[in-house]
Amino acid sequence: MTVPLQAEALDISFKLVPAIIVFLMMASFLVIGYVFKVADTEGMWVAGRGIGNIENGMAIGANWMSAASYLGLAGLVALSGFYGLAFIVGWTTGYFILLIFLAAQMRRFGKYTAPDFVGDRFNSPTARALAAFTTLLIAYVYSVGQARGMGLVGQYVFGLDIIPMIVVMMTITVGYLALSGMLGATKNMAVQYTILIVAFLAGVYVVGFSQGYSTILPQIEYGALMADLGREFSAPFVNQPFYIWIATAFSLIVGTCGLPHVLVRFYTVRSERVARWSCVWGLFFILLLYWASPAMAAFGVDLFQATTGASAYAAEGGMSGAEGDVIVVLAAQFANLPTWFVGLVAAGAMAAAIATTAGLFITASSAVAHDIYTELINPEATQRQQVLIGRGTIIGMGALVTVTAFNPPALIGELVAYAFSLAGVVLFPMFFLGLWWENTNRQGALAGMVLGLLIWITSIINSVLPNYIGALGAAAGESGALVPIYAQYVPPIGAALIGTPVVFVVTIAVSLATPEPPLETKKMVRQCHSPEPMGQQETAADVVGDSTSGGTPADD
Amino acid sequence: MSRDTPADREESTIQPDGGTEPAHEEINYLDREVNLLRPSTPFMRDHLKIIWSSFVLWALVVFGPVTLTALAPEMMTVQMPVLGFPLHYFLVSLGAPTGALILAIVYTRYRDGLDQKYGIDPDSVESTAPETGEATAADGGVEQ
Amino acid sequence: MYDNILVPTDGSKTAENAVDQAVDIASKYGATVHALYVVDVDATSYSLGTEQVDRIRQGNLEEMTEINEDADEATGYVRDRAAEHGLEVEEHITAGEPARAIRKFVEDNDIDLVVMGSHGRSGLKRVILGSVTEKVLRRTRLPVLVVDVHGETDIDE
Repeated sequence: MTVPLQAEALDISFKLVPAIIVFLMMASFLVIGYVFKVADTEGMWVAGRGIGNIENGMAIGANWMSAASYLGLAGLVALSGFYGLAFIVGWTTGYFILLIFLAAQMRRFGKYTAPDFVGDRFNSPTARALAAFTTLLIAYVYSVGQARGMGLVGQYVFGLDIIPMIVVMMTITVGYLALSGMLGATKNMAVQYTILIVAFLAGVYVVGFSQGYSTILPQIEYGALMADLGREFSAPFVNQPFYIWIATAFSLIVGTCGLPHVLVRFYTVRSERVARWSCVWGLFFILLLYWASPAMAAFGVDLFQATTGASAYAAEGGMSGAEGDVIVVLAAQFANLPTWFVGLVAAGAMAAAIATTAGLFITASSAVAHDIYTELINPEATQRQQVLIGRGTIIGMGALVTVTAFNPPALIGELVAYAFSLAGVVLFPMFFLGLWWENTNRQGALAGMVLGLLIWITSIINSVLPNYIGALGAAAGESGALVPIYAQYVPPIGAALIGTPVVFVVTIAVSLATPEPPLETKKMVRQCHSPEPMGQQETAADVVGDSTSGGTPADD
Repeated sequence: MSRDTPADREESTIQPDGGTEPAHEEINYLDREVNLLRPSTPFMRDHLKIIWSSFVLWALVVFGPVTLTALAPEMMTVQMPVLGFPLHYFLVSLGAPTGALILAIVYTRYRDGLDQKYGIDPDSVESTAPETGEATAADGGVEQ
Repeated sequence: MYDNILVPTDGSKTAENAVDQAVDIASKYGATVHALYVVDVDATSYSLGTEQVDRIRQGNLEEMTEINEDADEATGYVRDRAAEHGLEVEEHITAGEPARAIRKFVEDNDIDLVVMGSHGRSGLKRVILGSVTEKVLRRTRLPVLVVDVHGETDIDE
């Protein structure tokens, strides 16, 4: 039984100017991508050009500019009060862990994709397949969150009901993908980031200024507003207990370090130093949004009360989940700002969601076309076959995501958090142990990944599926979960707090109990930490191969 | 330090404190185990020192305020004088992420400093196999 | 008449099918055979992700070992066939959109004849799957010999 998702307070009608802005924004991404693509085709062989710290940092920021950051975050801060801050902390501070433990080392390992790393580090096609499967799952869940955002904001811009809205948006996404294969290119992403952060910050500044909340630093000035917002906005542990707060933040942090499309960003830079500095810049660019988002939430809650007369937290007439998810747009609407301006903010949200979804679909396509098909099924696959399989995957994924987004189980931010906890439980341990403990072997990795997948999947079945499947719902009864104690300590949103340490322990234990990996593999790990500079042309495997053979690889 | 013969270089360089450590250039990093808890080379020792210390600071900055709030809510939810935030809200929403950024900058600069100390330039392309006995310039590339 | 013959290859059976003809013509004219493998950048973005395309654009194609292996295999086939006839062969690799890259190669080098394979698709299949050979045919002024994979070849061995 599907319940149409509606943000009641949102002005739902077709608005021409915002619709035009949305198309202009998407078109600008495409045009810029095309211009870069054509310009580069001619100069394909110019070696020595590198991607700089700031450019890569902006691409990292763009990666994070999804519906979750743009919309969902403010929604969670508004609706869930202090618990919403767990998402701010979780989605930013994880980059420090990435920086000190993984970024530079991953750069030295080289390779192409996350399943590539797992398969080569652990000498196991099965591990590769598991990592590819996990990548697909992550892309799927993450995209459902984006689709929800698209659908809700699309109501404002296009006035359609939520379901046709989602179908339209997904079609646009898949079509956008077909036209612009250059989405992930760093320059492109730097431009996208700029456009999106301008749209978002413009919203915050103008709403703050026009309503008299703030002048030049809404990120700090909104503190004065907090007394008027009601206890629920800031009182600690009102919505979720301390354990869930910590579990959520922890899962988001380790998830950041386990997401396949995050780590891949470090393969493209010239050296580890650039990898490190671009990570720092990336965090800065992310913070530009994350500093301002709670301010927007505060403005939104206050304006909601002023406009609807009811407190946002009232049991009747309070802010619904859907309304919270679009509070960024709602705030601009309530502030009686001109339609074109609200449209600008809305367009930013749409563009962010579409670009993120497109990026995730490409990640999924590579997992199937390269890691599953070419590496495991048909090593003789031609480029053309790979393109076909990639495109097929994207279309399939698009359909699946659309259908799921008709009735998503949670808020935007929560859905995306599920994907993070999956990454944190399955992939993060493999990356961390693979890079920092040379005795992590194939058996340990396999055991760890299988266990991680089981933990996450059972958590979802336990807590989320009863809402969808009647029989399970009946079995779950009051608590809404099949096994209440499991749901309490291993909720899908915070599964990593328990899941990740368990997977670590199991991986280590199994690795200790089984034969050590070959010396070659250990040397690859050592190479990732060695201070010896590597040529940009080299992967860790290359360097190890050179040193053991005592010379450069023979030309054939 | 005497570095007269290749045979001498194979041996360790005598350190002022009486310990013996091979100089950085002579270490074949591919032969030394990487261990998070027991670094096997001077470089890794230095590196892990900053990793662990900044990690501890990070944990305090990120999880400290919220834990304090759970333990002593009355004290933590007082309103701040000028800014109007409840203290816990300020520390968590602004303090934690900004603290992480500051720590990130500090770590990365420190790491660059480490590179300088060991005479490493990641942006230079060097020959792949480290050759023992071939000392690069001894300016700052020698273990103190 | 023909001094330099270009054989673009993607490693597929269709491409290999054209090699015999190319080599035969080359041996009759004493021409140099150029084998060209084009890394299809769009394919790379679907199979490896667009970050990898970034690396190619930075000129780091050499470091991508698997891609280079595929290229070696494809051009190696041409080299082996040509070697049987004692012909001079040059192997090349480039990246980009295949038809455009081939055309650029033709312009930058002194190519006299292009020999390519074709699937011989028609109708809807052609529309959906496209034809690099057709694009090359239309974009260059050179003679292009199109060898249909379904046709019969009467080359004496």
